[in-house]
Amino acid sequence: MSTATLKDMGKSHDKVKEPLNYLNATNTIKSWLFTVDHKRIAIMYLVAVSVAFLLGGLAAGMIRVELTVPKGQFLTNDAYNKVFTAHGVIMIFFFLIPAVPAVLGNFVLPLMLGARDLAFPRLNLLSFYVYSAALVMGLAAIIGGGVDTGWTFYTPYSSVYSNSNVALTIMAAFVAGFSSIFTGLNFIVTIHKMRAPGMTWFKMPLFAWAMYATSVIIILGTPVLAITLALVVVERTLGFGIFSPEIGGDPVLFQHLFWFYSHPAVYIMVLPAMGVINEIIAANSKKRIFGYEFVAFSTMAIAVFGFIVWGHHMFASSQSMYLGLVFSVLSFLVAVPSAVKIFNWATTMYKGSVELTSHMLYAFGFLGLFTIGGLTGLYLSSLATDIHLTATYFVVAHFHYVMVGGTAMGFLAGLHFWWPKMTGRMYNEIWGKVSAVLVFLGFNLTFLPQFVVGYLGMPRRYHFYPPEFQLWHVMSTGGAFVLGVGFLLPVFYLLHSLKYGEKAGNNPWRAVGLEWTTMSPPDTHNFHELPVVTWEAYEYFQESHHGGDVGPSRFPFDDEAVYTSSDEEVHV
Amino acid sequence: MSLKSMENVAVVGSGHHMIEQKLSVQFEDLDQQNESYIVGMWAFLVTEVMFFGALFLAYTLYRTMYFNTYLEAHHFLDVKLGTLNTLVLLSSSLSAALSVYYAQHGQRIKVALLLAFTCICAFGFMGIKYVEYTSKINEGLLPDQNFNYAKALTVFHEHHKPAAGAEENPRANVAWEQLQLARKTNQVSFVAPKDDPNTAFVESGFDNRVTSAADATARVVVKSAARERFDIEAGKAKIFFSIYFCMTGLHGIHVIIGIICMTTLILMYLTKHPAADDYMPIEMVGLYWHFVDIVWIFLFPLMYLIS
Repeated sequence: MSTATLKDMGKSHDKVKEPLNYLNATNTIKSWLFTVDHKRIAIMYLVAVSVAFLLGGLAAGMIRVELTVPKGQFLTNDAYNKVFTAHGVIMIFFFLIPAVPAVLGNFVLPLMLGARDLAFPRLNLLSFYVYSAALVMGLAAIIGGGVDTGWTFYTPYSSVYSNSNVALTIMAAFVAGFSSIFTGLNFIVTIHKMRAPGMTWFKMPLFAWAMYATSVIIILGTPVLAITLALVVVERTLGFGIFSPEIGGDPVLFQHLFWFYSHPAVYIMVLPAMGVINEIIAANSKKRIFGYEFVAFSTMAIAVFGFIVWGHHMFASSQSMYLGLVFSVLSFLVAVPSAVKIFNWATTMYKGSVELTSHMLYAFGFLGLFTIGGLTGLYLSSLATDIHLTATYFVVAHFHYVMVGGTAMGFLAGLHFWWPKMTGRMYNEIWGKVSAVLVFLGFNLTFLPQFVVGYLGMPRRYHFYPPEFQLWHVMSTGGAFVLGVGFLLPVFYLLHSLKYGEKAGNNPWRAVGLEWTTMSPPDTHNFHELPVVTWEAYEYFQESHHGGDVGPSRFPFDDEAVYTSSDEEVHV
Repeated sequence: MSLKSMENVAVVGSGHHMIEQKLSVQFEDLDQQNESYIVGMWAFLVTEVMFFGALFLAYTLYRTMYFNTYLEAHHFLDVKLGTLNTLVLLSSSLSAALSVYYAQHGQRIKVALLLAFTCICAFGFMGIKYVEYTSKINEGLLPDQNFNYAKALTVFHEHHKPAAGAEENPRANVAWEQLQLARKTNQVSFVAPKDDPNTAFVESGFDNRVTSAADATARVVVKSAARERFDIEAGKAKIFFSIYFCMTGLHGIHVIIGIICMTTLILMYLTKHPAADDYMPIEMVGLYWHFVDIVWIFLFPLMYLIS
C-alpha cells in the first residue's frame, strides 16, 4: 500500500465501501451467535476470555491489597480463602488454558494451514458455548457464596469437609474441560487433514506444531481431570467413598490424578504462547527460525515429558522418596527442550533485522520472564531445596513467571501481532510499546519480591504474616498496580483502533506465512483460491547470502500478496 | 474454482443401492472429509480411553491395597446377570458392525433393522443393569450415606447358609467374622460425655440403637475393637462399591448416549432425511459402540470375576 493511499484513507475511509470480509459479511446478532466461522468464534472467545481475565485480575488485586498489611485489610480469613480460590479457578480454567488456543489458534490456525475453516466448525461453536456455560457456572458459584479450597480442590477437604460451593465450581471446571477437549480434537484433525497442498509437516509454521502438541496434551490429559473432578463431586454430593481417608480412601490418589492432568496443563498453557513467540521472532528478525526441526521436536518433547513429571507436585505429600527421585530427574529433563527453544530464538535474532514493534517487546518480555520462571523451576524440582520451598511464595512467584510471564505475555504478543489481520486495523504503536514496558516492569516488581519472601519462609495462601515480610508485600502490591495498568491499556487502544486505526493492509509486518497472504480482515472462507505451498516456513531472504558474512535479512514476497482476494474494492 | 457453487456429491455403490455424501464447505473433497471424520472419531475415542483410564487406575490402586475386600465384596455382584449382559452387548456389537457394512453398501433397510436390533440389545443391557442396581440398592450396597454393609452381609449369609454338618461357607470372610464378633461382644465399651475433648469422636450410622438410646449428654461412643475392625472392612467395601457404581454408571451413561445416537439414526432413515444417505454417521456410531463394548469387556472380569 503506498503512502498516498494511506493519506487518502485517513480522510475518506468512511465513504469507501469495504470489501466483503468475515466481519461485515453479515451484521445480525444471530449471524454471530450461530456462526460456524472460526474467525468469528475466535472473536467471541476473545471477548469471553478477556472478561474472565478482568475478573480474575480483580480477585488478584483484592489479594494484593489485602496483603499490604500483616493482619489483613478488609477481608475475613474465610473471604480471603475464597478470593484466592476465585483468582486461581478463573485464571487457570477460563483464561490461561483457552486464551491462546481458543482465541489466536482458532483465528490463525486454519489461515496458516491454508484451510477454509477448522475440520469441525459446529464442534468449534459448541466448544465456545460449553466454555461460556462453564464460565457462567463458575461465576455463579463464586458470586453465590464462593469456594475456599484453592484451585487445586485437594481432597478430602473439597470432597468432604469444605462448606463452600465446591460442587458447582468443580462442575464448572469439568464442563470447561470439555470445551478444551473439543478445541483440541478439532485442531488435531485440522492439522492432520486440512493442510494446503504442499504444506508438509515440516513446512508448517511452528505455531501449528505448538497447537498440535497442545491438542495432544489436551485430549490425553483433560479427560483424566474431568473424571477425577467428577469423582470428587460424587463423593461430596452422594457420599460415595473414593478419596476419603476416613474409610480407607487415598487422598494422594486424587493428587496423582489431578496433577497427571494439571502438570501437563502447564504446557497446555505455555506451549501455545511459545508457538506465538516463534512467529513473532521470525517475522521481526526476518529470518528463518534457527534449527526449525529442533524447535518443532522440542515442542513435541515438552508434550511427552510433560506427562511424566507430575509427581514433582507431591514431593512433600507422602509420596515415596524413590518415586520423588525419579520425578525429580524427569523434571530436570523438561529444562532441555525448553532451553533449546530459548537458545534457538536468541540465535534466530542474531544478525537478523530485529524490529522493535510492540509485539516484539512483548515477545522479549516473554523470553526474559519465561527464562526466569523456567530456571526457578529447577530449584523446585530438586528434592532438597523443594522441601524448604514447597508451598511458599517462591512457588507462587515461579508459576506466575511461567503463567503470566509466559502465557499472558505470549497471548498479548500474539494479539498485537495478529490484531491487524483480525480487525484490519493498526493500533497505536506508541501505546502498544508503553503497555509492553509497563507490563514487563510491573510484573517484575510484583513477583521478584515474592521469590525473596517465599525463600524467607512466607507460605502461600496465608492471610496473615509476620511484620518483617511487609516490605516485600508492599513492593509486590505496588508492582501489581503497575501491571494492572499495563494490562488495561491494550483494552483502550485496541478498541480505539477498531474505529480510528489505520487500515492494516494484507501484510503490515511483512511476514511470511499463509495468514498474511489473505486480505485483512480475511474473507469468510479465508482464501478465494486455495494456496499451494512451495516454500519453507519462514522463508526470509539473507541479502549477502553468497558473500561470506550473513547480511541483513529481508522479506521475500512482493507487497502484492500472493493469494489475496481479487475483489476490485480491495485497493481503496 | 468457486466452492459454494461446486456440486460435490459422490455416488458410491452398485446396482439399486446408492449412497450419496454431501461435502461440507470447509473440505476440498470427500476423501478429505471422510478421513477427517475418522481421525476425529479416533481422537475422541482416545479421550474416552483416558476418561475411563483414570477410573481403572483408581480401581487398580484399591484392588492392590485391599485385595481381600475386593474379593469378598465382589461376591455381591451377580455373575449370571453380568454374563448375560456381556452376551447381550457382544451381540449388539455384531449387529452394529454389520450395520456399518450395509451402510457402506447402501442397503438402507438392513441398516435400519440392524440398528434397531442393536438398540434393543442396548435397552436390554440397561434393563438388566437396572435389575442389578435395584437389588444392590435394596441390599444396602449403594455406597452413599445409607451404605449398610452389615445388613448386606447378614442377608447374604442367610441366603448362603452352609448345610448342616458341612464345613464353613468358603465365602465367609473377614468382615462377616468381625461383624459376628461385634454382635457377640458388648458393642459399646464405654459411653463418653459429648464434650469430652479426650474422647475419640467415632460415631457412625452402623447401629442406631447405640446413638438413639444414649442420652443427650453422652452421644459420643467409643466402639469395641471388633466393631472398629468391622467398620474398617466396611469402609474398604464402600470403596469397592463406589468404584463399581462409578465405573458401571459411567459405562451405562455411554450406553444411553449410544441409544440416543442410534435412535436418531433410525429416525433419520425412516423419515428419509438427506443426511441418512451418508454412511459416515453409521460408521462413527459403530466405532463408538465398539468402544462401549470393549469397556464392558474389561469391566466384566475386573468386577465380577475376581479370584
